[in-house]
Amino acid sequence: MRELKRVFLDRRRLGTLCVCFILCIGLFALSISDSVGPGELKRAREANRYISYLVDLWRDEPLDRAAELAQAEEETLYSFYRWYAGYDETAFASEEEAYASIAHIPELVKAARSGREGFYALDSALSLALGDLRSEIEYLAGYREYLKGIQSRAQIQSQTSLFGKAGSFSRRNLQKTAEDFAGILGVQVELGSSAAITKWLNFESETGDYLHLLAIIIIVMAFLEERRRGLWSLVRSLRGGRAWLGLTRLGVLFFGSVLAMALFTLSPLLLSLAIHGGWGDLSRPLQSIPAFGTCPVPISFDEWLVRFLLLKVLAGVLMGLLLWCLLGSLGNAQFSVSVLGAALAVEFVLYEFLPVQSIFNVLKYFNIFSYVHTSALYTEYLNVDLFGFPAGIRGIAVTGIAVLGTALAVAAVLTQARKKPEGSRDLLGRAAAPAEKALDGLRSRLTLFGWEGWKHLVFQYGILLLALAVFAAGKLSFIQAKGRGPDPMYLAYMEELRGPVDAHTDGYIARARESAERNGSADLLFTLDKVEARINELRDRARKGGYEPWVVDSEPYDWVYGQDSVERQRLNYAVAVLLVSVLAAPLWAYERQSGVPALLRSTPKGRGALLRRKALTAASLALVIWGAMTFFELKKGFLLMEPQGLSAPVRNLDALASFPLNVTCGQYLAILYGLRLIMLICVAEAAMCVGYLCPTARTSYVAAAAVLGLPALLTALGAELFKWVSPVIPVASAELLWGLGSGRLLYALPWLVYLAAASAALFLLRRRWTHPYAPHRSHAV
Amino acid sequence: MKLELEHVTKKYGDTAALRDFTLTFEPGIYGILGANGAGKSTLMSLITDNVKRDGGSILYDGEDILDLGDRFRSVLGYMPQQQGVYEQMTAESFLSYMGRLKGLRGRELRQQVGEVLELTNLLDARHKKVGSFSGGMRQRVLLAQALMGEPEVLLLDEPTAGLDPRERVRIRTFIKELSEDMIVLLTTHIVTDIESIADKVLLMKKGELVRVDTPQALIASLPADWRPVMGTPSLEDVYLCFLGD
Repeated sequence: MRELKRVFLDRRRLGTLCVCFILCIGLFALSISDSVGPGELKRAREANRYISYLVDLWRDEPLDRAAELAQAEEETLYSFYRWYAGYDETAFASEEEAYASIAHIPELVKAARSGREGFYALDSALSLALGDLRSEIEYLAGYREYLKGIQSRAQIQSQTSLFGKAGSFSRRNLQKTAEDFAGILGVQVELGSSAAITKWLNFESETGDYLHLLAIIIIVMAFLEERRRGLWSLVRSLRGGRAWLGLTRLGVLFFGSVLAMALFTLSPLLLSLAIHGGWGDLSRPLQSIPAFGTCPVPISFDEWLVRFLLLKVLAGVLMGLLLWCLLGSLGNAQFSVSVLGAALAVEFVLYEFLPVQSIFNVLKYFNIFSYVHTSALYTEYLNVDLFGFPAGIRGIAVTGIAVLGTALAVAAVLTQARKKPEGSRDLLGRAAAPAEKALDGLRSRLTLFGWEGWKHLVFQYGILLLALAVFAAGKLSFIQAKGRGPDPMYLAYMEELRGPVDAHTDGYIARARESAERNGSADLLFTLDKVEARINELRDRARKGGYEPWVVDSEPYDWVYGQDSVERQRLNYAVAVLLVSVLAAPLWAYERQSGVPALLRSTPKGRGALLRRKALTAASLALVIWGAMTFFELKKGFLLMEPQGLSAPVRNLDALASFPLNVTCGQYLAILYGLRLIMLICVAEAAMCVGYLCPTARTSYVAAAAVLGLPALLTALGAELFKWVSPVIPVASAELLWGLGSGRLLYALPWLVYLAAASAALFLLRRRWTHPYAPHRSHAV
Repeated sequence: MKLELEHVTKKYGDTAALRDFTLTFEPGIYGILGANGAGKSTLMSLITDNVKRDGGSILYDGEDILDLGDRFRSVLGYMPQQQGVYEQMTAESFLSYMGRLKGLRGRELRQQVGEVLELTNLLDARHKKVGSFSGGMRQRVLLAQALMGEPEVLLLDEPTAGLDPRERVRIRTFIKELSEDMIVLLTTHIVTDIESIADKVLLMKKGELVRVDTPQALIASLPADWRPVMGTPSLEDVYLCFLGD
């Protein structure tokens, strides 16, 4: 019990687990709101209510009929959208008829009556959800055929010499697959609400699994604490400090795995069910959920869930045992983190990159990451070649838990009992010596800036955080498409006219009008009227503003940088603010933690020069995050944009009609990204200043995240009150640029305020570091 | 080469850590003796400009060290009492980094790193992490960094604490060799260290400079009732006489 308390009630570990749990729930909430924009869970719930209604309505219908009904429902929604947006006024005879067509979706009726923005957003969410439901119905309708296909393929192929001789792996694999799936031939798949499970499974395999692994690592590292703190001999000299402690730790590991399962697997599932519904559908056959289409186990989802959670706990214990044995066998605790990192890296590379057909594929599935991604054992059907015999990956993993788990448990307890703190050969230390020697040679050539980078990235593992930050940036979604596109005919004409508005434009419209009149197409003439009106509007605006009129495709700008994506931008740059602040915070705190400020300050370059290098390091970290964000945003944004449009005057975009500078769209983007970089550098410098006040690197992470990251995230999640104290809006910059675009110069104020605040913070930091009279008495005296 | 402290005063709240300290240091070894709280480390911190003085002036070759700033720090070597080091760095890396901060670079930096490692008997451990070092080894690393950059003023706060007798003798001998063209201020609780190498001994008590003289003169100045009945008097008797309660 004492060991349990020591491990789980330690402030740092408890804090880390709490942060992981909050992160887990937050990331899950974001992942399920992905299709409708962040902070819009309400809309997600409305979409789910709609889907639940349809599922209940069509539950008793034959699946083929349900598929037809889903298609008809999609057409109804699209017709109403086209009518509502004014692209097809003939879709309904009257307004009453139009609204009657969607009367079964009261939320949409309400949204349509209250305003266009709300309607487009909800319509988009409902259409996406309906599309998913239709795909699911089509899957269910074809499932029986799919199963029959497996059996008949096996029968046909087993008679063909192309698929190997009798007794070969290929032939045996075909037979095994057919036999495995024969067990579920009688399963009756049912229509139900699967969104909760599907979204939870996606999250589980992407994030939840890694958080579980992280929790296990935290627990195992706690077992090695006495070694790192130099208390190993003391602990071993106590009664109960050897085998008994090992046995106790086995229990702690099991409890930790249960806890991790509850926090990072079960909680998101419960949250998903609370948001998406589907409690009543949990007893459906497992194969009714498309993700489990290839799982040949004839059980219901709820039965599977119990098995899965148990497997998750045991897999966690096994991972823990593996790491515990590996790290426990080291004589030198200093190498724990490096060995852990190397072991996980090797396992990850084998798991991710070893081809399935490789003769070493057992290493891919008899791998720690197979136990990390436990759900994949059920969602992927695969047999690997085990000495010519097909063995299912689930079977391998489960056998591994039983056999390997027992062996590792014994080994872990024995290591705890028998490994001696002193006198064992430090093989790793010896092996590391040549590497350290080579690195010393390299480090002796580093400049002071290089040293600051090295200290931060290597000694404080900043490189891992930076890699995680770049990975996180790649996972962000930068485009927020609102509603469906406008009238396709109107779009087609405008696409043809893209470029400068000149005589060619008029010529094109005249020719198109003649053609439409010749064909007697009233629809085309109506659309051409709209096109002409738009061209005239652009001309008038350009004449008044003194710039060249252009037809620019504004959708990419609206979706990536515009009003449509305001929440997306706030969220993305809140994440960037959080990452930059956490990265830059320990730059000074590390010095205080190491107890070296007085020493540094007694050297000629230890004051102003060191401060400048640290400020430069903070700016470089901001630059990397900015680079990653910009790269991924441009990569996605440029897929939508036409390069020619970059030379169009930016005032041609409606949202920026009054932009104070007469610049092109390309120049506007350069200004936007330039401002973002400057603001992120300000955040990095401010975070560094916050970290300066903290005694340890760990506290600096928390302080910077609380002072800079948290208000940014809260603002992004809709707590408008925090926008006054959060740097997220000046960092994202686009909102302020629109403000300027509408002619309100006051919108430049937040940039200036944050620039001034960061400069003031740096100035104060400089004073306190170079004239260390008040704050660091404890170090100075 | 002259370091002059004139009426230097430092207070922490109402407590005077250093009171009207006046002394001129010239090349040689100055051993500073005093009980905890006597103001030894405060004196060091004032000379390194890590604490603000409340009065007086500290002049190096006639110019205030605050005006000299980096120029003064470039002739300063400082070994603090606290064993603050970067635990993840190897001994060689730590010295390379400190050398950089002292403005050394290239071949000169590598050469000096090698020299101080040899001097402090750390050559065998140069590629090992400082975090794995014993207290004595850390002490030697800190001493090594203080010696880098060819300082003219060397401040050593408890330099021999934690060292074994052989290392102490080795370091003492080396400090003695250095002192010909350097001002060395060293504080220690090990009176014998000072006795054997200090040119002058400063006795400090409650922030005040009680006496300054050569060890021999201080011993000679012992009152008769403080002289041991058997054997010859030592600096320890001086300590007990002038600094004891």
